[in-house]
Amino acid sequence: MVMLFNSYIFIFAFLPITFILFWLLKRLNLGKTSLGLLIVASFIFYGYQNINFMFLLAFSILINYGFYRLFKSKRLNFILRRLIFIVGIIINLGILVYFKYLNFITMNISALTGRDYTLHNIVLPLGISFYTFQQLSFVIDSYKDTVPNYGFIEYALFVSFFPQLVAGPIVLHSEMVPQFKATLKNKKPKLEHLYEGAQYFILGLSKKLLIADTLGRGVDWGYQNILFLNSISAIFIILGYTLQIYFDFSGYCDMAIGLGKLFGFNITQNFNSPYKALSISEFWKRWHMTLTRFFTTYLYIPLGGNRKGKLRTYINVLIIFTISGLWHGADWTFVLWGFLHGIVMVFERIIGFERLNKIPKFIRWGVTFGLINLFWILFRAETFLDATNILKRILHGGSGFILPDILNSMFSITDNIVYLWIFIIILLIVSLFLSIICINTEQIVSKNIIKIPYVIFLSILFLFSLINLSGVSAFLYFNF
Amino acid sequence: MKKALITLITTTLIGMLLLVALVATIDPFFHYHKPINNKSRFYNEIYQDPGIALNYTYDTVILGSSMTENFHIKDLAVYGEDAVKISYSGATTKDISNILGLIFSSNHNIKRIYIDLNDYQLCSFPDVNFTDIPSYLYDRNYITDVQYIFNKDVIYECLHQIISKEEYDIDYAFTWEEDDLFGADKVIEDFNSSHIDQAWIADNSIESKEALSRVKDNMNNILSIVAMHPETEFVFFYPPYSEAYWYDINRQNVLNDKITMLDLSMEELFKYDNVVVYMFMDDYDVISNLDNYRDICHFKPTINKQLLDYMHTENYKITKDNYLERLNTLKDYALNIDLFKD
Repeated sequence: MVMLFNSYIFIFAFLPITFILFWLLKRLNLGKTSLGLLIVASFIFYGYQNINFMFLLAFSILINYGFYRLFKSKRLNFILRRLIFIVGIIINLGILVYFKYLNFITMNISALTGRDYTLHNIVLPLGISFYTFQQLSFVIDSYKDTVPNYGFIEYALFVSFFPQLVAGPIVLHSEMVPQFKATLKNKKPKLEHLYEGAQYFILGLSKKLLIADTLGRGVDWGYQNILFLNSISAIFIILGYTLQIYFDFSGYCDMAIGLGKLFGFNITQNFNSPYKALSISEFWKRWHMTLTRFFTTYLYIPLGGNRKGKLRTYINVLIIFTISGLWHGADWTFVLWGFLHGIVMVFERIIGFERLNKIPKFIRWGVTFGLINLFWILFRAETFLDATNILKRILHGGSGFILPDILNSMFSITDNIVYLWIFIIILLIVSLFLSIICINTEQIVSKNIIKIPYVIFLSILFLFSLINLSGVSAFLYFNF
Repeated sequence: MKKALITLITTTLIGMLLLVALVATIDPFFHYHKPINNKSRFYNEIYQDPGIALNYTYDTVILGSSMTENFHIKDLAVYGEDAVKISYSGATTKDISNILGLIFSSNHNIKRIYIDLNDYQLCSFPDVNFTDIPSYLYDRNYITDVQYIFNKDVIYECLHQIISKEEYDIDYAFTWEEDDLFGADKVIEDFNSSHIDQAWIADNSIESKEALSRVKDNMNNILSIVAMHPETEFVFFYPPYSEAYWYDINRQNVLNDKITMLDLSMEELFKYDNVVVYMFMDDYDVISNLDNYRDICHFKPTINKQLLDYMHTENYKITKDNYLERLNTLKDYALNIDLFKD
């Protein structure tokens, strides 16, 4: 476990202290030290509950900087350079494979050979999927000698900076390090940055706590009790997860961007209203954009991209998306999820975008959104059986509105069924509106609204989110 | 923009201070003080018991399982005892000892504590306690109170108390008294609802024997506190389970184990001078009338009152001189129960 942005200790202790110390150091013209402070703070953030993860991160930083300096020294001949490059890739991927995929691999070998090779539980260090990719991009660019001179401090901060360490966005060194260098001389925070940062953080926090977590409780109940779902409940669970994952992930990224801004740095956007997409191809230009960018730059283009004929393009697309599926999770359900996205992307290319664009927008949106919902089932379900079962419940679940158990798990304020119905309908309307029709966080913040009602609204959102960090459990112990 | 930022910070800070003031004043879980009016609802033992222990003033306590929930404070007041009721349904002996710790940390001169003993406590693992309790209500650390102040359910409860006109009496805290809860039919229904087959009986009897090895340690959890407070009288009582309970125990083939459990626990109790013990298990008038119960163990509030009266007239007191005999008689009685005679 790492520290979460949405926690008392982060909001009341870690963030204010880090913020104050950082700008104090800047005020005293200790720019490099202030960057060092952020590295220390990031390590505290990361190692908060598991100190071993911290050591792994430190190892990753040290060894990759080592590779960088080797490449930079230009004392290697071509063969040695190539060798070190391969070693670098293997070490970085190796760490990821060990912690994330070894169990998956051994489970499959066991299933195939009939012998049990499973190991005891390997704990997955959080964020390893993200920082591994950041390291890979850095190693590859170092090998290709497209990296300017970076000091160790700037590089280390680029990898470990706490806003983007655990769940992205996957930033490029070329986006972050120049900023660290350029702002060394700044002594004070810019007012715009603080205001924007506050907006991003509050909006992101609310998206996560008020919408994503609320929906999540209902979705969790649904996936634990699939065979009890009626038709409407099954549909709700599926749609609920689609909304949950968007508000959760984009909310967390909003918070990350907001936190970056508080320290004067711009972190890349990761979302651009993905559920407004009119095709799956467009979806991936709006969802987890930094991941799409990474795969495009470091896998798709090296494989040839679309420059080697149609068939090869289709194969490349399928490869990328299957790997993307695997990156998201060490299970066949994730692989299939990725593969299906790839298949639709290929299909869209085969039809051709000129022809596609002639179809009315509403239909294109409907089909895209429908497929997105369908594919997310594989992402959330633990097994293929669960995924097919939840679909079956739509046909066989029978009538009735959303089950009271689902509603009760989501809203603790009342158990009056009528109020619960009202709440869920409002929640669905609001979250569908926000994700499909409304402008997104980046668009809101760039409007620079300074009217007082908006400010009061932000304040209320923050307070409402804050109190949602704790609740009261009902204990059911009426036995003795 | 400067104005917007400053307004944002100020309104947020003011909002947080208002929330602090709200929760600290209404304080639905008595974390800072006794209730300021009669609007405090008593509805969650795990959240409210520590507050009652720490912030009420009293010289007498009734403490224990769901069997204690139907006691009324005023029935102790007539005996001159200034009491609070701390019902802690589902508590293990470790939980009980935790609460005892809180009681003694904040109140001096506790004259008497009534504690009921039951199966569940005596047979649990002695180092087990409630999981996921709100530890911020059990400690005196103000920092952890963020989870109390900025807590949506607590705030809703505060607002609810402000808006609502309903009043509550601690006398009726955690009680369940509606007449339609009780009746012989409900007891038989409860009895019939447990599915017992040979396999279950076999497993259970192993477990039941193993549990006996835990009785002494469980008693020790509580008695270690008893030993530290010779100035306080501890009145332990074994509540009257219905006939259906003993019939059930018998058909599970664990009657001997249960009697042994009572025996072992009593032996520990008799070692202490500041302990008085009552056993109501053999009040045959009460336990044979199934209309007194809502399930095989839980009885009506009239019985609670009766038990209080017994405890002030030394009725059904059990001592090291008579316990073996009473347990034997109880065992014989249990072997001969005919539950379905009418």
